[in-house]
Amino acid sequence: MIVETQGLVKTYSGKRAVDNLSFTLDPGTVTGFLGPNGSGKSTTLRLMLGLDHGEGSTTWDGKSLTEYPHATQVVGAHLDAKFFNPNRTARNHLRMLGAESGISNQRVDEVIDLVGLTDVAKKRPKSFSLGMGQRLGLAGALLSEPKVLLLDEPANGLDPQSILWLRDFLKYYASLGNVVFVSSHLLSEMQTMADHLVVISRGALIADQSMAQFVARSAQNDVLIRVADPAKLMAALEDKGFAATSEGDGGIAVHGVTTDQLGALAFGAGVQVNELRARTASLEQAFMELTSEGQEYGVGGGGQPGGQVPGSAAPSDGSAS
Amino acid sequence: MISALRYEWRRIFTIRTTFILLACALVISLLLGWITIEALHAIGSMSEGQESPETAELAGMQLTEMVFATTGGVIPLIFLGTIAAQAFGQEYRQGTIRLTLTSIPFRGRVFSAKLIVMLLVVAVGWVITTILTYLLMSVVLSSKSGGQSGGLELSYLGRGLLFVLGFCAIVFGVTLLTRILALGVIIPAVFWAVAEPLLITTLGGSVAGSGGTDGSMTVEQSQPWIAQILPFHNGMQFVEGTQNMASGGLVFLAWVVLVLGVSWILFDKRDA
Repeated sequence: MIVETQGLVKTYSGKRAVDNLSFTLDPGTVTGFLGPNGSGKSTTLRLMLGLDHGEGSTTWDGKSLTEYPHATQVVGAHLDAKFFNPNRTARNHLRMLGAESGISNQRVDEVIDLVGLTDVAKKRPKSFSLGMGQRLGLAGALLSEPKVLLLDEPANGLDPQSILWLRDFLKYYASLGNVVFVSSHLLSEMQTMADHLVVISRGALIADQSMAQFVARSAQNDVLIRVADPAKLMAALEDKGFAATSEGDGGIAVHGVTTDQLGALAFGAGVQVNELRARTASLEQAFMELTSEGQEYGVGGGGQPGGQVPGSAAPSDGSAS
Repeated sequence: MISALRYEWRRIFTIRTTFILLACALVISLLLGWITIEALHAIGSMSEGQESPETAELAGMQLTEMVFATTGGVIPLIFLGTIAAQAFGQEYRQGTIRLTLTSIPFRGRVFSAKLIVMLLVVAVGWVITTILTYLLMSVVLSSKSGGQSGGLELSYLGRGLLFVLGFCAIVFGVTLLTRILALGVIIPAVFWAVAEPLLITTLGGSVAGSGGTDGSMTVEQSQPWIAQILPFHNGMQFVEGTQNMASGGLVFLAWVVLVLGVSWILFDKRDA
């Protein structure tokens, strides 16, 4: 199933919370949804599900959600860890959610077991921790084995083991050919979990590209070369027009160049190379750089979603060449 | 639509509150019924120089009216009305409306399913409460008077049931308008029990007379203009079968339709 959002717009009191947002979610991929607080992530998810009214549309394999007999088999959403009645047991909460598509009690118990809530299944969730609430919400989203999972901050409140489990599970779920769309503030987790990123700021799209492409946009991506004669290499770099910064101890940081190019340049200049490696920014560094400038950033690839950033180097694997 | 009904049915019967409210409506009605008979008996006993006046007095009252005054009064209906208010009030308070509308992305079906299931539960709950209250009052009445109590007037109770359902539908709609469970119950109840009698008194003249427990008036009284448009006053005229029964029923129905209509429009237009 392919999910396409087209021109989503949501306005509150004249201020645009979501500004003409369009992106596509592909099957078999975990797509991270990033943006600063108040950037419109939750609003976007609600617009996609038809919970909020706004402009634009979201199609699920080309069809509106209302064209499917059972929406829960198309999309499972987990929007908040506290969306349950504190006096309805966890099991009954899931039985209620499953009633729409005739989910059996056996399936309810399977999902409870999957998210690790078996011991508290018959307890009322008013005493649940945030992490347990997240598990219950996730169970509700998974109940009908939907083709698309929309999860809003599902890792909040989870302990490290649960986060690891969540990461592995979502990657596994996507590998079955499903769409997984996850918003999160835990960027280190997102870096290991997501294959693709949709990044918004002030409601507008600033990136819709692979994780590697997004990270490659960071100005902190460079190549470090440590040589016996840095002055000679600096002169050669200036001749070629590369921006280089001396880092001491014979080290030079060079932007906009690959390790292959820099190795060849050093060889051509007759300089002995002691170390050569690409330094890739973390997702967090890239995210902070890009979102701090807000809407001034255009979409990568000359304004086309999913495109390559002009002038950026190819994603590096961080290894010396 | 069937799946929406199934969802709502499961929702309403997987929380204890529903059963507690139904039980409260029943217990309160039984208690009020018993107190009513005991009070009438005590009043009769206090009369001097007459032989068993309570028998005559009780026989003079329609048992059906007493039963309805007990089970269809404000206090029992607050409990049944809370079930109506919970249909949306609980969902908005706990945010589960977003889960509901994600599962069933058809607001019309969600609205209809909630209304139908609520009306069904309230109807069954009220009928059972009324039958049991009638039985209790009959037994107590017979034991006090030594005679046979009167039978139930089904047409009266049928109209009473429609009034109860209308009241709960208004509670349902007001809750949806305010999105606050407590207000959904309090506004209609206070309007019925306090505001309407005050309005009629201040704007339309006296309401003294043999009105019902809600302050409704009998046919002998002239209808002040304000009384002709008030929902619950007209609803009670419909129940009591006065000469204004038909118009009263229509006015009450119009209010029910109006509140439900406005609440539906806002439910459809507002964000969840």
